[in-house]
Amino acid sequence: MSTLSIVSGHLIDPEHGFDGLADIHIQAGRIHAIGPVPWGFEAERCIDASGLLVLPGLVDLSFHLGGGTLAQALDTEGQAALAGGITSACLRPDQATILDRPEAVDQLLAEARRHSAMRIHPIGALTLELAGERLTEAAALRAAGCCALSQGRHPLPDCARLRAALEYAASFDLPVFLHPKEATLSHNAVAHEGAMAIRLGLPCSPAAAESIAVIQIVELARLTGASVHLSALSAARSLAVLGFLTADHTLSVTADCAIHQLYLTQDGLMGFAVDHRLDPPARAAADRDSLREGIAHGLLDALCADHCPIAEQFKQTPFAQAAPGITAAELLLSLTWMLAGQLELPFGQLLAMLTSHPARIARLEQGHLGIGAPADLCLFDPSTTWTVRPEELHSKSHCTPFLGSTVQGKVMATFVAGRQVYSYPQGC
Amino acid sequence: MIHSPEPNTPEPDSGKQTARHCLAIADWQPATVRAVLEQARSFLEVVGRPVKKIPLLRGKTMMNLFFEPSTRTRVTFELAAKRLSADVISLSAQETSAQKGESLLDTLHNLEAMGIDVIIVRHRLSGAAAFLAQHAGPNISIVNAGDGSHAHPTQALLDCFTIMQHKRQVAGLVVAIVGDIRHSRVARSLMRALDMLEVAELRLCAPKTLMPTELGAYRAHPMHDLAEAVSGCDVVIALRLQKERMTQALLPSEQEYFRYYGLTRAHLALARPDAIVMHPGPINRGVEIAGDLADDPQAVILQQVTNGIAVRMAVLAMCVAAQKKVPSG
Repeated sequence: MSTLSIVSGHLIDPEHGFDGLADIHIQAGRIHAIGPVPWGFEAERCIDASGLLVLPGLVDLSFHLGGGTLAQALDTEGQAALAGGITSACLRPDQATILDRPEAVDQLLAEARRHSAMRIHPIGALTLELAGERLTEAAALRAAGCCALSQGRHPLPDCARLRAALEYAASFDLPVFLHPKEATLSHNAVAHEGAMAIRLGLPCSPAAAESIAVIQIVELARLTGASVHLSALSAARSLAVLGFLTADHTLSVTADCAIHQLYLTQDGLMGFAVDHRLDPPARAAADRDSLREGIAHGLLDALCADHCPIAEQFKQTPFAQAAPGITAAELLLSLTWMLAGQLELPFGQLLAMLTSHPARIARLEQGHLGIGAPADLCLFDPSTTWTVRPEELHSKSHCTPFLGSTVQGKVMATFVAGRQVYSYPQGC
Repeated sequence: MIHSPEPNTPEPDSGKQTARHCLAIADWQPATVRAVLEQARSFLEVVGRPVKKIPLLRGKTMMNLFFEPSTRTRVTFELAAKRLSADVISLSAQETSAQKGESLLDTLHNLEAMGIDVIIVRHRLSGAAAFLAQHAGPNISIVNAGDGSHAHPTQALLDCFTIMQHKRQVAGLVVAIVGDIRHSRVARSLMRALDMLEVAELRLCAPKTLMPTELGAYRAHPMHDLAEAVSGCDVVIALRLQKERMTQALLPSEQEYFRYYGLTRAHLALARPDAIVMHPGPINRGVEIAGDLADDPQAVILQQVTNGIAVRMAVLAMCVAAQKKVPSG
């Protein structure tokens, strides 16, 4: 039975409200004790974490593996996730093989066991081939290991279908993750309808395409009693209507936004920069600022990396043809650390949005450092600054709008079930 | 603190009067716009000669790469290149390997390998010309002949040139652009160019369905009443209306459009007595402009076409002159 102690680190566990110096002792892949060495415990390995933060492994609610073979993608993107401190990734259903049948989920999980040390939690497709027509076998997908169902980036065509999909998922107590996007207002759009896209003549969709979908989804969640999670919000109006529609606190509705949305605006599109080809798009500065307020006031429950590595060839085309998505896993914690500083919020408040909150939304047992919990954690050095360069990244995609930026904080080591699965070369 | 990401702008030509690419008016300095217009004046004289040819670009090869149909722009670029003694090859969408699935990037690399000096490109996607420029080597120039709804810089230049022929300068003028501003690359480039040349007032006139939802990037006044928009104008520019605006349910009918937004002699009477009427062509008589107005002496639509040759000569000459002389291979 392997044992490990991580000593002298600054431990932050938002779930239990712990924030201070403490040793942590791990046995058989689970957290055995926090504080003094328990009687009879002998650490086979002891790591000195002085000067480092000891954090629960991050739980990401929207992870994409990108293209290529499944084995390769699990390997490179798994490494990227672990290097970013992500130990549990909820996998979007719109992978190279769509997760719309139990066999696809079985195959994914079998490959994941072979090729990735990160925990994979598949999100099943809500409709067959994500076509928005026929429902998938929700119960079978749940039995195969899906933690939730989702339509990926493809909105359902109408409210009747959305209602039925929510009703059916609720029958099996499966949460549904939805990207709010009204289909007709966002058709063909590649940018936010604002001054920049208008200047560049790009097909664009208004922020209302998102906020209208939020209204439809939340009202149908009320009608059906389904548990709904709104993914990747990007518009100020989305938060405004969400706050209004959920003010009675009777619904099981949660929401996240991608960390890059808290930094980027439509102005990044200047010069048709494909590393700003995002879905949802970066919007106006006022939208970004509202999202920041939504974080501060708890209107948003979770933050995600929205990791989506796109092969070079699909980015080397004119902007409107480029596939949306950026590599993001390795920047998640640094950008969150910096955001806490900029918003003058306790880091623990934002860390909850990367750990305990997403774990609760996806109904996972991870995301905290309670006694008996899986020993998934990461060691983070907030004093290290680093510049985002291709050679620093493990992901096969180097497409990120933060390339060349200098960021604060670096994951030094990552553990899954008590086993060290990543270490920064200059770290532990 | 995070450094804001640098946009991948295609090689800024800032501060210089010259530019290697012609992608969008917005990429250029006002001095570049003025220099091209000045150069075009001397080329206009060449176009009027019995022997319409000067040896400025002898030995250079231009490629007309048109992924969208065009007659006027394509032919005037071809004539402009020939007047400068360059060799010209013209390919249209049906003839390109794009039909066989070749990517735009591969097409570019092939043309570079063939030693083409200037690619004149028209493409349905906004940003296509900028994309080629981003990936082009130092010995090639990209000239945008229209990309999606983004830009049509040479049309804007020839429009400004035509205005200056009649009004001496753009500064101090009141100009109205009437029609489908929202989808128009001509309007976008023209708004930039007129702004750079210090137009006094720029009015945009269209129903809301054809007007951009945000004009923050431009110094322009949106209007919905045509009579109001043309009152006291020095220049009125009508834009072509695409038939698909009806099937997209942005407009009810051509008849209603003409009744409220079609330019007529009655409108011209509201403008200044010496006002000119322009149109980038091809015109839909009885839709965006009344047939008799199109033939009126105050309509300078055919002069625009002639000027297009001189302006495109000036653009080609400047771009080639700005190429870095790096030995290829």
